[in-house]
Amino acid sequence: MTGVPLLTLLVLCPTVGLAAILAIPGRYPKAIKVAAALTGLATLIVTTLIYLRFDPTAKGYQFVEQVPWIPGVGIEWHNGIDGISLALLALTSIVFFTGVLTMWELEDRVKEFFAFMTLLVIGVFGVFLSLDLFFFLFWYEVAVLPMYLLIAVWGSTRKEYGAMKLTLYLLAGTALVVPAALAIYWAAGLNTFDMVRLASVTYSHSFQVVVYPFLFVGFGILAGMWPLHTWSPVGHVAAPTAVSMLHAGVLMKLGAYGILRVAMMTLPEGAHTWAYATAAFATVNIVYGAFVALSQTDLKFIIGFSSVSHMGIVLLGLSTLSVDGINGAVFQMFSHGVMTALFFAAVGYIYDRLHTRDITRLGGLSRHLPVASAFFIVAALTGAGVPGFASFWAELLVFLGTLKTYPILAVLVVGALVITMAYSMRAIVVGFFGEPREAHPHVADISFFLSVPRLILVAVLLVFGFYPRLLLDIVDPATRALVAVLP
Amino acid sequence: MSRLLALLPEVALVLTGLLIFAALMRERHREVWARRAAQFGGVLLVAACALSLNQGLEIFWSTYRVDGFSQLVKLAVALGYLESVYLVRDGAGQRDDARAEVFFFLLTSASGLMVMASAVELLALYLGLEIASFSLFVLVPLRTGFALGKEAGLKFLVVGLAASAVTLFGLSILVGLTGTTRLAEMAAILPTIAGEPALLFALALFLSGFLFKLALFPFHFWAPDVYEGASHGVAAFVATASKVAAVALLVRLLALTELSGSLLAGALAVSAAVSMTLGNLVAIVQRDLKRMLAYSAVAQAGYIAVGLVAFNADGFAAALFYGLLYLLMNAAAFLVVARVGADGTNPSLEDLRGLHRRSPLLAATLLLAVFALAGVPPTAGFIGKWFLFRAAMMEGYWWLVLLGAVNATVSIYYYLVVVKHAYLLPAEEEQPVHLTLGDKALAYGLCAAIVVLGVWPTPVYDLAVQAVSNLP
Repeated sequence: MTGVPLLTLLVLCPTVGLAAILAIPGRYPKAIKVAAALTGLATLIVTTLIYLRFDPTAKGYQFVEQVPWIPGVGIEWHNGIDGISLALLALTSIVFFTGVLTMWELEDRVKEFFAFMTLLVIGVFGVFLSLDLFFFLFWYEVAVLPMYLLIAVWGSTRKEYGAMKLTLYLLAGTALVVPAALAIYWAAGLNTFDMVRLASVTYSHSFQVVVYPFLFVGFGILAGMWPLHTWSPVGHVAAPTAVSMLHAGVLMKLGAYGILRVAMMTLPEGAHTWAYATAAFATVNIVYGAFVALSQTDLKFIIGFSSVSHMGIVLLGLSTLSVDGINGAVFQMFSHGVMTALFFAAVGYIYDRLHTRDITRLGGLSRHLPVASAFFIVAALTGAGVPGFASFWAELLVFLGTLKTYPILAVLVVGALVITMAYSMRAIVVGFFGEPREAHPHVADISFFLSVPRLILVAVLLVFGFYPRLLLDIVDPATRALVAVLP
Repeated sequence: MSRLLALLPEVALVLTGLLIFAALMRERHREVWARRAAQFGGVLLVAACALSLNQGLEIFWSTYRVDGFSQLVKLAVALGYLESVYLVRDGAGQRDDARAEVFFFLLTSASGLMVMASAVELLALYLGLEIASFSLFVLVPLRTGFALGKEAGLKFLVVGLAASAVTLFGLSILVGLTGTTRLAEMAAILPTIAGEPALLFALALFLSGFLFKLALFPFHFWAPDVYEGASHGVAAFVATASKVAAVALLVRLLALTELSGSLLAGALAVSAAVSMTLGNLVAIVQRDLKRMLAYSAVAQAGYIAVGLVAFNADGFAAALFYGLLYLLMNAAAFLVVARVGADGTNPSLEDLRGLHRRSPLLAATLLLAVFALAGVPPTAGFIGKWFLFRAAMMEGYWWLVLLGAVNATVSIYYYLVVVKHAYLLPAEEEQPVHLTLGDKALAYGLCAAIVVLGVWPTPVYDLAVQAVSNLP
């Protein structure tokens, strides 16, 4: 290992990018976009470097950096990753880079948009690589906050309402998480926020049982947990394309990751006690989300509720507390992230040109905009769990894990998968095939440049669909280490 | 020589006073010269306080003590003073015949606060409190362009005098119980009479004067009217320098004796809880920015009290540290208030519309200020609240922490409404906000401080810890 602190570098890249964006005067929008794209590219390169140097066989965290920060209260600059975090770091870089490219046509308040977007990404990276509970939550909130302005200023359809609702829900989640985190710190009595050391303490059973729901629900809100998911479709519909991509693609994973990294690792007995309840809630997520998606006509609402359903698969996988289930959950986090990004990127183009997302008003799109439609169709097929795309493996693994632990819930989930297929097909058939229902202005199909980010996302879905071991090989050891501490 | 160094802030105070006084003697351009003198003196004062930060000294028969604690507080007061006189600018909103005097009275109030910071004897402490308050009693009613200015002044005076009478009464019982007015001697005697109900009673009464300055429930009634009724610079002074001194004094007095688990601790915890909840809920419906900041101040006083109820060095350090951060956040918020309402009127939320175009820098300053008040990282508000909550949690006040966290979420709503007006809603007519070079420097400086302290608070936090360790 060379001495370069790659993880710190990964946070520094977007920080420098943010500084550059702020330094460029607003009258050069092109330069700002280039700076943002270069920032995305830089994070992609650093993530690749980390991936190449990552040793899947090694135990514990890698690339660990540990520097005292505020010694008196036990806060450290402590970073480190395992396979699970690495998968999510990769997801973040991919979605960030492609997100910047999809927003290339943005004209309104370019500087502020990319500044807030970069700030958000700094927070996301920080969460995935932090091993200090203070910094974990610090970054967590950094990621949540720029969302308000990103949606409220650049969004569409009831944007102020959506933005406010989203922000308040997510911060209500942190209002549960922060006291719980401080309670763990207090109960451990080590005067440290080091998550590794906090996880090594055995807390009393009653403490775990009481505190675990705070963490699960607090983080679960961001993961779109039913019945606290209502911010998610509204927020995603209101948000501009790249923000929807980042939010549904990456930010919702912060919640699931928080459950995994903080709640389950620190309070394994709590996780065990509440497992059936959380699994039941997750199943409601899957079934409910799928049914609601079936009745929507706005493409973004369909995606929004499909996200609720898919995030249910993640939560269910985590709740099985088994190797298969958690592997599947992490795989699903990754593939759902890429898939949703593709979804929103595809819809974003259609909405920009036709100014409607209502499938009852569309129809026949695949004839006018064959390439732009293809992107949506690929995403919809991925969402439906068609083999060959990454989600297939994720859903299979979660399903296997659930079948072993909760056979009844597994049956319900299979039923929901049929519904998933149905709403995906409905969206494709009604929106993209047949005759156009209304006369739309003639618009050109997506340009090559704008299709580049979408092509990247499709490629990622296919690569991991055909060769899932690329991801599973690094995730599996981390999952086994996690399951080993669970009772 | 080191004696002179230790007393440098007091020397600077006297010099500034003389300068302003000389300026007031002039026949013409009084307010221009007074402003120059006040601003120059403010810089001098800050420099003097910074230079004397690590000094130690006791004078006047050990009633006046210079130590790490007092000097840190003086530095904060000096910064608050400098900011306030800077915001006054041409005295807009101040009555015409008082446009120059405002600088002088702000200085006397600051001097009172500084005496409070250094006094280690009850009567000296009380004297400082009164000097600080009386100057403000004069300043608040001297407002034009706002019909309720007089009412605000009267309310401040009446409630303030009542609080000070109660304080004096508590002081008299305290002296009767312990037979001394010196804090150090008192700290030695107090543990022997710790269980006495009379002691709790006396302390509660005595503290009320300082809780009044902090605007903690149930001593908060003056705050909304005074914030709204005073001119911008004066309100900024009440919100910054005066607040931080009140926090410091509460820390000094509560550190005197072991109180955790007592009735007083319980009362303070309840006050904190009500203060946070009430302040945040009422702030939601405000349309006047200054009035909203006043209710937010009531809520913030509640957060600070969450740290105080821990009754240990950690909690006191956290409260003092938060007080310092609070000074910065409020300074930033009032900079926006003063410049958006440059004609001396109170800016409402509607006046903030389109601010991101009229002045991107001010909009960004406001954004950071309200996010810091709400406790959102990377601004300093997050780590400040984290320290407060951590201290309370360590003493088992989990319910208070939970309530505090929920309150922080509630407060997000009205802070976001402010952000919405500044960033989202278009202005009817876009008048650019004029900023001088100094305004810009101040805005950049405050923004930088709020962010840097949010990410790396260690040096300042260490100062606060060190200051608290100096207490008797």
